[in-house]
Amino acid sequence: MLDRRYYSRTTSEGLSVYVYEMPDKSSVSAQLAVGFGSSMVNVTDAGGKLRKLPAGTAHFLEHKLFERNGEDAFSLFAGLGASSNAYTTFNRTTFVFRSGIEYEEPLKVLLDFFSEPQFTQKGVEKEKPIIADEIRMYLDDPGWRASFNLFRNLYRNVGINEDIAGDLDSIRMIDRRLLADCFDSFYRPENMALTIAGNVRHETVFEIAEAFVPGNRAAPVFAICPAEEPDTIFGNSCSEKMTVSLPLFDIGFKEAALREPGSIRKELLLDMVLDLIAGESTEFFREMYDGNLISDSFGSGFYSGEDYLCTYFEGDSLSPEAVRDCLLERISGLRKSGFDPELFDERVRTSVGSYISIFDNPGSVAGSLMSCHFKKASLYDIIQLVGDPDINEAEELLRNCFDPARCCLSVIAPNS
Amino acid sequence: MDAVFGGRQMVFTDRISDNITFSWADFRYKRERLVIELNCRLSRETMTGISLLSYVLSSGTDSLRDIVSLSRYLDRLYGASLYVSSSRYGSRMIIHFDIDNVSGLYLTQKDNGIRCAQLLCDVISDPYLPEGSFSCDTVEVEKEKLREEISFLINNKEAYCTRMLLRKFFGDSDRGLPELGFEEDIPGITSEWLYSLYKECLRSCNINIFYCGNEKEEVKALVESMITGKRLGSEAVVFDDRPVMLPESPFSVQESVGTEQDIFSMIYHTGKRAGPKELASLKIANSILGGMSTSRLFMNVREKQGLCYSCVSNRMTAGGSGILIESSTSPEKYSRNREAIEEEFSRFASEGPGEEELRQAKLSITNSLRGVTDTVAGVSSHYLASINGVGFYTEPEKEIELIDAVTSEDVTALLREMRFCGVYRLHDE
Repeated sequence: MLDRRYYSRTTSEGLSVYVYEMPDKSSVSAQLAVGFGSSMVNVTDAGGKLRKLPAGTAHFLEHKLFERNGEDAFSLFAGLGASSNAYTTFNRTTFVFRSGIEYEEPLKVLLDFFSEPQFTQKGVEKEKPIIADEIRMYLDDPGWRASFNLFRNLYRNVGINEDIAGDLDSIRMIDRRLLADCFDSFYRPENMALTIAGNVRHETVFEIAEAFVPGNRAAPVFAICPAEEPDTIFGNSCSEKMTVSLPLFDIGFKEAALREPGSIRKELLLDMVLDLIAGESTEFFREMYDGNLISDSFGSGFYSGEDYLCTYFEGDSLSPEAVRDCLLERISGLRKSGFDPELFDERVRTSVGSYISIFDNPGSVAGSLMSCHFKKASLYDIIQLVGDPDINEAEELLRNCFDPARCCLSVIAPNS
Repeated sequence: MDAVFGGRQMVFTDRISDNITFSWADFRYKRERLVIELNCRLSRETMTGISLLSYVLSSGTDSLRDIVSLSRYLDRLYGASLYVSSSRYGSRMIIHFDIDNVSGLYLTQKDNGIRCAQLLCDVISDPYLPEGSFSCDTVEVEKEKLREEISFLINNKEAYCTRMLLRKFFGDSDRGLPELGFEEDIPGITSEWLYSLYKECLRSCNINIFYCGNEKEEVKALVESMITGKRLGSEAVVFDDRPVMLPESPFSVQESVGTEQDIFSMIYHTGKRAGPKELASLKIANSILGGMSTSRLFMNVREKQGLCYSCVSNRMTAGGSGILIESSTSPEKYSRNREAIEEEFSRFASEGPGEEELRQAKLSITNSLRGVTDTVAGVSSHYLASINGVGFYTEPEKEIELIDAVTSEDVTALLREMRFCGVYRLHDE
């Protein structure tokens, strides 16, 4: 499926570029991402001194970068018939556009945003009330609050314990100088990648990318310093009241971070392990569902970064404590019995199906290429794993994760 | 059903009978999709039951009798996704059966698509019926899930606010009935009543089938055989799709739910149904007002005046052409934010779109329409949203022609026909 369509190159400035040609498509999706996310708040400055950036700095920078000479990025892309967006996650900041087959000019605009960023204090101050409203908007989201209450109980030093957009106090501390220093430090070609998929030609993309000259010629001011995080957690339960109909819960486990090479293999296996514990294809799910402990909103997942790995199960329930207890019992039982090989093989088929499906959609391909880049893997690595997973390795992962002593239950309860 | 063709045809339709159509799209994807929709009558008495049916029917078939057996079978079909849902469109209640899966072209299991189509047919026509009716245990479990789902609507405040606005706007008409039904009706539902309701839905309905996959002839034969064998849709239904009566004066409702922000939704409406040309104007009007990241609401209310983070508009076709505006802001800015939105709308209606914003909106919409054919989800969603939303389907290429032909005067005329009808606000007392 990948043959003769997938190209990668590093430009002379150090930008990694990945192209996937899909000549039968009518659209193009591109992503430009920077390895600077909201969790990366622990840094050392030029003098080697440890510093903590205000929560929400990466997100604030994302807002301000999509603006140039007072002109909004959205307008520039719209003028070229492309739609654009930007978002910040724990691990990176991503700028995207989607266009028709005329992608060359939007691509130049995307790269150009990082050539001459201009931060003014007036512009920074103008953005603060907008971000404050965004922060308040998330505070009205019970699922979001359950997650961040959980992270605060699991982590003390790792930056995922702070809201991605920061809080009303932390954004007050952000100024023009801080944003410029962060830009100079992190928005460097070697810390960025461009992925593009759809009706494109790799020669054209490489030529445009090669002309990209980053604006940050100054020496980096900060360097990311992965947090030293104790193994222990800081609370095994927490609860907050909001206007919700039923309690919402997040059950999280503080795991050892997947730092070693090959972590993408572990992440793909972890996805399967979570489904084999409590996915819809397990008898355990049915017992919980029929017993009215969970609804079909029940799900699982994980957050993974350089200095953290957090697995979680979430949903709504009249009795979140009972869900947690059942889950812990289920995991303990599976550790002894191992996974049902037939169920494992069936789950593998689902992974194969999901993997093939990526290649229908330019947006999915561009996103997958980006994930692979930041995990130092290639799409070929995923093919290999999807086609040849190891049940023993999955069981080893099960044994090493989900420690009840590092588990926290976060609940958002109805306020009346 | 009308179809407006032009340019390269993407979707083709065979009429199986007066009230049953089979439509298919050219297949050039890795995923396939089969959708079968039963368009049933909407009434106060049956809508809770129809909502519950989607839960019960997705929990198993006669050969896969519970949710686990069904889920494991879907895994064996390489992660096929099966959905059964119900939704209200105008005066219709649609029960939507949907499976999408990887094509056997890319698998060692070459008949994957046929197996998936067979499963969807089984879900519709061969449910698990111990003692001649739905399983009492399953119905009781799913009743509780539906009750929770209804009460859960409050958790997503923005969506809840818009739902409440629309209920108020449509008032006592069928369109004003809550989409998931009534919590108070749930306890009285029995498995026997529910099964008889289902049989009635199967008998008296209009059926739209959509397929995009590599096995068109076999899938069509399979579905036709089910329809004939089970006499599905043997009685056609005529729906009343009259436009909505606009309220005499705008309403304003406030509800205290303890939110950090004031969340509100507003509605502007013509009270007139849209044809293909008006729909093109509506799409452009909405894009310029609040449907794009360069829209007037985003640029002027959020970026220039800093009155909120979120301020968007959506076009509305239920009961006629309309625009829904959703925003949220801190309580002290509510009044200024709302006034600014109303001013933007008034200015837009009075001045009409500028040349550049009209060009940008057209470019954005036409590029989206061209991208529709890139995925099976795009093709199928475009088709189904058209058929269900406005009652006719326009090929993307033809729609692009219609969009290109829209003038500034068309947009202005449409906006001037719209009346402000009301606002619904969530806040903290």
